[in-house]
Amino acid sequence: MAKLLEVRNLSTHFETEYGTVKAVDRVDIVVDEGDTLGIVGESGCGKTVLAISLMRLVPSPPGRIASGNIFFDGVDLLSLNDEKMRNIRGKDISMIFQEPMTSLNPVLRIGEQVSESIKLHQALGRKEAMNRAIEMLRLVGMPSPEKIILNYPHQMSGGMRQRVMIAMALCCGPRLMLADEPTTALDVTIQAQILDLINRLKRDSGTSVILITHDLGVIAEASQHVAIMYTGQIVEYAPVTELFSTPLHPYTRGLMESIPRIDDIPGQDGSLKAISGVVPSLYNLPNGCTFQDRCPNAMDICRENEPELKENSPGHRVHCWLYK
Amino acid sequence: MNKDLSNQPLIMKLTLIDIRELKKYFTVKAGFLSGNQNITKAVDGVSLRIFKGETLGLVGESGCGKSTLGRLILRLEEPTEGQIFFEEENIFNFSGVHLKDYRKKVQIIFQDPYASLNPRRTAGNTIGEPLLVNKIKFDKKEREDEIARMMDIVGLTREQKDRYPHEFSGGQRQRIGIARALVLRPKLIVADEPVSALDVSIQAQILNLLKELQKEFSLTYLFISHDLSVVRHISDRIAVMHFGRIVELAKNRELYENPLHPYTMELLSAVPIPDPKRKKQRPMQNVEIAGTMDTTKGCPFHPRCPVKVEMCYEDEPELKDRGDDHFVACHMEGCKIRCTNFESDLSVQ
Repeated sequence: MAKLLEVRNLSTHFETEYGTVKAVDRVDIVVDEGDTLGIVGESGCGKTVLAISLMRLVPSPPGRIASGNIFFDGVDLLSLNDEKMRNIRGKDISMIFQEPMTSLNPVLRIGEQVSESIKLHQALGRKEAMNRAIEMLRLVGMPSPEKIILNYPHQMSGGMRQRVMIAMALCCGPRLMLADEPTTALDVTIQAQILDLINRLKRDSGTSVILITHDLGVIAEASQHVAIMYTGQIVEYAPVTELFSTPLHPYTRGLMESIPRIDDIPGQDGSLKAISGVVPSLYNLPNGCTFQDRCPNAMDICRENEPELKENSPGHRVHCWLYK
Repeated sequence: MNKDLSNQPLIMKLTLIDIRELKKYFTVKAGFLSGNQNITKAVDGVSLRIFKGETLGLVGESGCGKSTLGRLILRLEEPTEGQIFFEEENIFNFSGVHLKDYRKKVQIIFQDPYASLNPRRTAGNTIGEPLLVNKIKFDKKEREDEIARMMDIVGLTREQKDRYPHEFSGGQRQRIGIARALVLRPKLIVADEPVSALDVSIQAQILNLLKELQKEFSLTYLFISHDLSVVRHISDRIAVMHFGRIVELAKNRELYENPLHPYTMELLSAVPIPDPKRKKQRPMQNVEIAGTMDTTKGCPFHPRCPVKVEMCYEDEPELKDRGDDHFVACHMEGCKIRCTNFESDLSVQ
């Protein structure tokens, strides 16, 4: 498969009064055409900043992309001027934001919001753009879209709003869709529908997806490759079946053991294996590996030197001294 | 094979809370100028018992009324109809000293540890405030000792007592909330989505802590959550709520292995399983369209139900015992057979 997106050595830093925060730290990812890459991590690990860096939407100041390249279809997005980037954003790369409750404009009707990017990117008139918007809303399973376009966001439920967000992201036929926690605020039954919808649209139109989530269940259902992020770095990267069958990094293993699973009854005393400690502050990261204080396998070398993201078996990379 | 929680006999099957035919309706103005009113039936005829020492899980989707039920138990809401008995006394008759006394016995852990702590109060003061309000341990030294003890118990260090909420992480804040709820030695704790705002690696820590505390202080929990995986790990019995009603109530293992209500089956099949080899096929149903259909008559679930029959359009089913403490509100006695498309791949090897 052809590479659609290749990110090399990407770092995004924020200058704050307490020092520089490396929110995204030397990240390498590849997304093939028609592929879904899942990015997993806990809050504050940099997964959302990675997504907005790819869209070149990092607020500057205080943020800046400190190093790296983002090749999209062979073109380095970081070398483009603002005008050219605007032509790509929303057309070739689109984004589904996390909170459907807050990321729609409350004072614009749904039809206007969905048709805005169609008018911008496809040079269609108002009426044609609106027709296209109705088509898109129908595609995402919205009942009677002709009426829905006249509604305001507050008249709709969370699941409906998320569908509107997806319709907006899809309306220009993007080649890459960034979905940032697209189902986190939703009920399980609605979440299941939205995931089915993303999978179906991907199959039908061949769009590549970067799916950002903290839910390993969602990853297992919807992605082909997985990157695990911790303190701004990718600590493990593998095909999805490989990651779930042989997780290598102690953090990945800890995550898998600590989640309560519906298909599994609790152990003898009913307790879960928790990862001890908390995520270190990005202002004050330790030398060496950033997971050292929570790691059950920490060695001397982990406190001194930082490991590299190295290939352990074909396609399976891990950022840990246990694997040399 | 692992020992299942639900198979352990409940130590004492004494009823702590007995909810009888409880209803809570909210009236919502339909429009700014119109005189029309819509009635939201948040809790609509719930009868439920909570036994001493157990954890009762209460699951359902947003808007099903599970938090309202929790708030009614805490007497933060007045019911439209019905009673709640706490140790055989109707809590809605309490007032004055009695009410204050009741509130000591029943405490809550809130969902969002970021919003539920006063940002201008130190951790120690937050934990110690219930003691002050209830005039227990009025002596400063005694109170300080008690606060320090509580902080030890929930896994905070004594040095953290003078810190403010913003200096703590989400998991630590939830620990403060737990210590505050625990300091009055309540009998019942209503935990309203206590881990849903926390990161996955922290969730397990808090769930384990809640379990330990239950043993240590012989607590009873009403554990409200939308997450069926979390509920499975902490509950002895589970009640499934839909549109203000309990539609199924069963022991933990029984509910997951032998669900009888089609809504429970739908919920269970919607949970993504973290195993890429077990991709499930779900029937694509349009949940929300169904939700707006007329449900004034018949079973409230019928617009979504895959196994409905004529009777479901007319009569509302009652919560009936199907044996072995498994209650279900569904006309289809044999709906399990009709629902063969639901493969219970959750059953344990």
